[in-house]
Amino acid sequence: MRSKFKWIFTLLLALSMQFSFAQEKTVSGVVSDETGPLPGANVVVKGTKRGTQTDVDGKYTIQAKAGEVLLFSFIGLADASQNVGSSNTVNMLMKAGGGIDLNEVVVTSQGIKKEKKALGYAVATIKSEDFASKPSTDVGRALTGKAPGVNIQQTSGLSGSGTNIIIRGYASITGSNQPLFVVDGIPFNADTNQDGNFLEGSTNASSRFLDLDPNSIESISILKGLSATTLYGSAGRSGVILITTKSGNTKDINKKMQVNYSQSLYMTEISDLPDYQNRYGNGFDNNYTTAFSNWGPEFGTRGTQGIGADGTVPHWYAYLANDFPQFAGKTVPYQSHDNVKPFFSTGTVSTTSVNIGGRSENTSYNVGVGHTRDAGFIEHNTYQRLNLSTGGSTKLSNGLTLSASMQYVRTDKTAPPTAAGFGSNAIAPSVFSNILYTPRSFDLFGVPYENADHQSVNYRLDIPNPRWTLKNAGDDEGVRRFFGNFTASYELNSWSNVSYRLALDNYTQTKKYYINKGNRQPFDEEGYLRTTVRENNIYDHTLSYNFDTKIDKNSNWNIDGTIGFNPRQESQNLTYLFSNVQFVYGFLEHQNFEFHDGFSARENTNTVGLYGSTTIGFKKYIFLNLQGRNDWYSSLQKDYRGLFYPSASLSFVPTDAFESIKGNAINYLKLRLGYGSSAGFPDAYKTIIGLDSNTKVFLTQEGDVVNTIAPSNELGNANLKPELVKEVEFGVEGKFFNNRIGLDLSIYSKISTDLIVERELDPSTGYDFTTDNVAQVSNKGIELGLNMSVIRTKTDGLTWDITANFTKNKNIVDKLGLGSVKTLGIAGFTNLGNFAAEGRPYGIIMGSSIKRDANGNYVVGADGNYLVNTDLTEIGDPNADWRSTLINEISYKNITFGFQFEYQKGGDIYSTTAAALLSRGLTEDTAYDRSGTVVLPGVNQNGTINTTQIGYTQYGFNNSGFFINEQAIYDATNLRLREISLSYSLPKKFLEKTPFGNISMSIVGQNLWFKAFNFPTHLNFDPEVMSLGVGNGQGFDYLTGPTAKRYGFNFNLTF
Amino acid sequence: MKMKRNIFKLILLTTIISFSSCETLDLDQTENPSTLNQSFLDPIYTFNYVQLQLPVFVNSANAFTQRVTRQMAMTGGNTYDNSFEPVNFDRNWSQAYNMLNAIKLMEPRAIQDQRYFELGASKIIRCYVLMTLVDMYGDIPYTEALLGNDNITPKFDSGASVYAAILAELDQAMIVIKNPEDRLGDVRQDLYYDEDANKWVTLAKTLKLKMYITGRLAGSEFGVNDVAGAVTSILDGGDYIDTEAEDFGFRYGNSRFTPNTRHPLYNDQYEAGGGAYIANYYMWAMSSEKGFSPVYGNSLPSGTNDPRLHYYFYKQNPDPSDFNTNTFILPGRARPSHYNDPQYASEYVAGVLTPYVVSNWTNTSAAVPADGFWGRDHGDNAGIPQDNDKRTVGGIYPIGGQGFINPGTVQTGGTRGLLGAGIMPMLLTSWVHFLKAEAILELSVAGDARAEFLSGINTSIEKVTNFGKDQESYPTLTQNQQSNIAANKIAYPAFMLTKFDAATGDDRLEIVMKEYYLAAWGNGIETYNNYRRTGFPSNFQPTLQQASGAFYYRALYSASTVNNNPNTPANDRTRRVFWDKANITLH
Repeated sequence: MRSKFKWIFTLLLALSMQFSFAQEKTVSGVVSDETGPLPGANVVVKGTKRGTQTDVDGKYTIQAKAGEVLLFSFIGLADASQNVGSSNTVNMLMKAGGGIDLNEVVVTSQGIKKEKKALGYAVATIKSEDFASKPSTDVGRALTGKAPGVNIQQTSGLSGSGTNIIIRGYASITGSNQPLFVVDGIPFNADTNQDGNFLEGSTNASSRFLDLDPNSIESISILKGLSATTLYGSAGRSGVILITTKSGNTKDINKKMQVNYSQSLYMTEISDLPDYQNRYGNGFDNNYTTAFSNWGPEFGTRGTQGIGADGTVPHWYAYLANDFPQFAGKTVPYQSHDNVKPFFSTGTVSTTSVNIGGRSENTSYNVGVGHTRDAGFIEHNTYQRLNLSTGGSTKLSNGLTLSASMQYVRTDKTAPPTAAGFGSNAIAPSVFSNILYTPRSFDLFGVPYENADHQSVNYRLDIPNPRWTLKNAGDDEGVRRFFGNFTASYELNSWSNVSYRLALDNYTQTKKYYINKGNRQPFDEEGYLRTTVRENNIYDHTLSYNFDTKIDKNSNWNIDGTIGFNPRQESQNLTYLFSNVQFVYGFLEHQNFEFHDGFSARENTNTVGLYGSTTIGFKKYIFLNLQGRNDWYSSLQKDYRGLFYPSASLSFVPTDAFESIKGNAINYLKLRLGYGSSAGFPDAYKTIIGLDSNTKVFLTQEGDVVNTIAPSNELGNANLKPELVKEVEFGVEGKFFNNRIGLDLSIYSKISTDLIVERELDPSTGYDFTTDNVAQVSNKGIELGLNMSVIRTKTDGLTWDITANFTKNKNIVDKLGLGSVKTLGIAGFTNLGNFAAEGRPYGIIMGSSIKRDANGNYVVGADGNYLVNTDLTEIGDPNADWRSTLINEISYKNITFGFQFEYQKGGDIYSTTAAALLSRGLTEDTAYDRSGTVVLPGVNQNGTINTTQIGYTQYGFNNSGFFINEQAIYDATNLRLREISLSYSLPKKFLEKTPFGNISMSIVGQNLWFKAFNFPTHLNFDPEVMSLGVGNGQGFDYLTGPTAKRYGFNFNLTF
Repeated sequence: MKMKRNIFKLILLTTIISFSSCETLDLDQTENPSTLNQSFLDPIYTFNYVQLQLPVFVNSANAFTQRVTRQMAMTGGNTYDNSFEPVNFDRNWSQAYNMLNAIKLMEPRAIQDQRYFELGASKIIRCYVLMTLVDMYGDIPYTEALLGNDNITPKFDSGASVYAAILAELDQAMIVIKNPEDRLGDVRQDLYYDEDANKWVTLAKTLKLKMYITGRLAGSEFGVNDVAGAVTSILDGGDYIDTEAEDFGFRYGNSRFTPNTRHPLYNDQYEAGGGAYIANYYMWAMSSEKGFSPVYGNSLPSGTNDPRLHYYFYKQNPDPSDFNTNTFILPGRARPSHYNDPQYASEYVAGVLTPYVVSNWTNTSAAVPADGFWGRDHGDNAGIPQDNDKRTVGGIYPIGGQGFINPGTVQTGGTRGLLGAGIMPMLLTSWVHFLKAEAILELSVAGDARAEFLSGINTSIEKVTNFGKDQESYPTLTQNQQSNIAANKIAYPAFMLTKFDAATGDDRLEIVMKEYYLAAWGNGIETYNNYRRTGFPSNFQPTLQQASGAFYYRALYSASTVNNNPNTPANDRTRRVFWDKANITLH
């Protein structure tokens, strides 16, 4: 009986449950490769925390037990494993070549580690090489293109700007579709907290996973399907990004202390600027005026069209005689100036990271420090982060294991304001809205941007000088964050344990949005300061019972599983204070402003989950996994509060089941089938809506204060219930031709029903909007990952690996459920934005279009311009047809050269960058001879062919998207060189006599080249921006910030 | 050993219990702790909300009605096709119904608390809002409106049936507000009539009068078979707005920030950026159309003039002719030939054509005249020149702006004039006089149309010229200015009387409606109703582009109702509201 239990225990360890026990023996051996003994190779007992490193002679000793598996790893060599038998000596000859470890262990939901082959669903695992020490200081962004089915997009290229992550399409219409981040078992708040709306440019707000230091992360698993995420409950229904940090991961640390040091230095620049034309200057209708536009006379014009006989025009500031008497009556040559490029600069990004880890008998520890300083491509855009982390684990002799990890993060970001622009002055302070369309003949950098009173001056006062805005306005952000977990687990017997984990994540985010007095715009002129403080808290408790045992005598059947109880509390406090009318210029504290107003709000939601999961394995080649979870949510009425959602998956490994088919052609084959479901809960407090109360809404001329109380314009819905998402997925994984080709294919179909929608109401109901369960959305897609070892030579070490990812997702709104209402706004404006329309792709772009007659001809008005159809018309589909990534890695000895291409096919974008530059006649695309006239193709209102001639100004100004939304829509198909890198690691032999275990360095460039094929050539526009910010809006560019390119080097050291 | 083990178990258990205590397990948290519970809907404060929302609603109605009736310049498009979209009406529609909903929800509590004054006054405001909605949009949700979850797609009731219902509601409101069980004497804030229930009743009766006359061509459709009789009974009762103290208007404050209590047009025009353009036609109708001598700056010319001129408008720049070189709408653009069409020319002086570019550029010669007001023509959607500090802005009345001071920029961050302490006029004594004149002329109601016409002009002039005089920042008028105004207070009405006397038939009504139009400055709802009902003023400046498409015979239903309520009728701007029976082709 006793021995049987020990035996079960061994298997239990093999299945990587985190137990360890006594009665081990000492195993020793030599690790070598073709060239001789390997110093510094890692030796780990699989599924345990026991590990060591070989000494200079390649020797090691380790405590292990018969039946356990030793894992050997060494950089540049294929991982190897060997069972411990009766012998106390295990020698290992390691071989070159990467390739996927067939018995790869991956982290699945609730931190449960499983052999990959036992999984009936897709899990993408990303190694630290792919995101650590990269130019992107944002871990989300560093994963771009790495995993099929995961669409990651930046909001802009500004340092610290938000990142949108969508896994397997948008499943909810107005709810969040962002994945859940889980860091060392802690549900990690990854919100993008925006103050104000997209019009004010709140979209450059950071996404809070920015608080993670990529260098401190050990590994990332992405759980894409619902069968993988069920245990996380509703929070995980949009996918889960599981992050294991170095401090949270204590299993692979060697006995002796190891120090990892890495340093990187990168440069960041605007990815590209438009090619400005130098033929025409400021004006309209070929006449020189200080218009917003660049439709003036040709340079070289003299004595006509508003240009003086000597080729000059009045000095731009001649009209500001009070501010600049020196320019009064002066003239300047009418010529072009380099007035946009100097606005941008080259920023530097430096990251330093030190990680120290080690272990003694039954205790391990890890301490890390990381610091990043990231300066963007314009002044006043910086991002700094300090990460301090520590973790440890100890196992007591009585069977209790205690572990903890914690991290403190401090981030500070400064950025200029980036309100949405339409090619004329934005409604709120904005730098990009006003710089790109600067007329060619205005010498922006040759004249002052402020007067003696620090007021903005420009060639016209209704455009704040962008240089002034850059110096005087900002949208800054600071975060102080603590997160950590404390875990205690207790072995009940040899095959089961009970564990309790408390995880908490707490941060305080302060934002400061300000503009000094003097921009000469309505209301902002006096200065404005807004500060917000958000305190965000997650408490997550998990009490679980875990077991793993054989169920028959022949050990053919194995069962493992977990039952858990998981209450979670999420709360947020927000305090908001704003002030206006600045007293002393430049002093940005509330007491320096005359007027103040503010509000505060708090929110708390509890979700209590009860879950169970079990995997039944037969002979280690067929595995059935059953899972279920019931969640109860505190912000719904009692009858609709809870929802149970089950999932099941099956994994079958034919190559293990039928040894005969295994050969050189087929090395490994796995088929999987999964069904999963999950719930989605509404935002807090949607069933009962309180009153709007406001104080000092009005002050009578007699000085009486008037306060008001009124019903809200939002209607509560007591019948609101959770939405349900269901998904079926099928997959094939395989290794073929001596492991030269690897395949990972998933096909899925996901349907969300009873979708919670924030729907507009006809205000005549008394209310403007409500929350309701109505719609249905489906996602069907294919994810394909292919690995190929093109060259794998043994002699000189030359290898060439290609990884190709392909993603195609069809995201359709099946049903809107709003009766005869056929469209529902998702994001943007009500007359130009993303909409859900029955039977159409999710988020189609609707707006105004060119009027067409019954035959589909464009209709031209009496003035020769197209007539506008202001009825909401579908004008674009922002969803890409497909996306793919091609990663090449070529290694020769210690040198590795890699590059990653990404291609997006299709997907429309509404671009005001394009509209502004073309409508204002600025780029080379508009450098055509403007002296003639044009006749727009189309028909007149009476049906005859249009023959009305219009000037080129009219042609460009009226037909580039300023007036008709349809004309600013472009196909965003693009190809880009996402990354190119060259790295070198010093050969081990050179390091033998040094204290260093590993020295490597690399040169990396990101986004160095891109091409958006269907945009006018000279715009050089990168459509990879999202002006609607992180959320469900896509395919909009409102001049809120261009993309960036980054390049530089990094240096890694281990000793 | 065993004991130690148990201690550990105990510690584990207590830790779990202490951390995951009720706090995280409490599942009944459906109410937002940061908003007030419904039980706090106190009628006093809901009435405050209603009182403050009313001018906001009128202002959003003005955004459309003032522009199609050439008070403010229509610059959103160059034809009627592209000037307004349904989304432009979202705010108006939602402000109206939000307000109506508040009044509905306050009622039970108001009755319980015996807050009859607040309830009655709110109900009268409700009637004003409803009639304005019918006047603007035609059919509107009424019987099925304001039901929340019980009906999210209310049907639209015919404008006539709603009109009939409003009449009944007004009668009921007059009873409610006079309920003797009202808790008189409690603190309440009445921003309109200083807690005088009688004045609210006067307003209610005048609203009925206004409805009778507005709907006079379709009386039977809303249950008023004898319109003349109905009008007469109100006039005979004598309880209608006929003194300035009874004028229905909202008095703005002069606080710029926290809260901003100023007139919305002051907010727009007196901060920075120039603000909305005033229509050239309106400024022309006040001056050049009547042949009055040109005006330089803000000084008053000798001779007859409209004494309200410099109270209505303020010139930032004395001479619009000196900046045409630096703008791109003037050079090379000839006066459109249809602007020379006599149908748009002056009603009073032969040969004075409709203005172009500036209020007094009335002839076809190329030179821009030196004097005049810088506004915009109807349907001029051209780019914006650098004219922030040159545009003519609203004056003392009704927006609480600048008057009489020598020209100068008002783009100074709200420091000029009466600081925005203006009014939102909604129903004034002078308008009632014009309505009466119309009733006498068109319905043969007993009375003296000439006397009402004269009283209308005089009351308007008195109100405007005395407006804001008690305010600290009121300009000091020179002796010259004072005597000039005093003289014109006599000369101008006399001038208009000669025109009235000389006119016959419809022309007489047109002269009345034109003066009504000028007295209604700041309120587009009246002028929009009047234009559709009578076709006057008939010489409105046409759009710059000749083919402008059909006029807006009604406002567009908001995008929020079009998109979300399948019962919304199609947005056809040529479909007339029920009382628009004259079938006049408007432009």
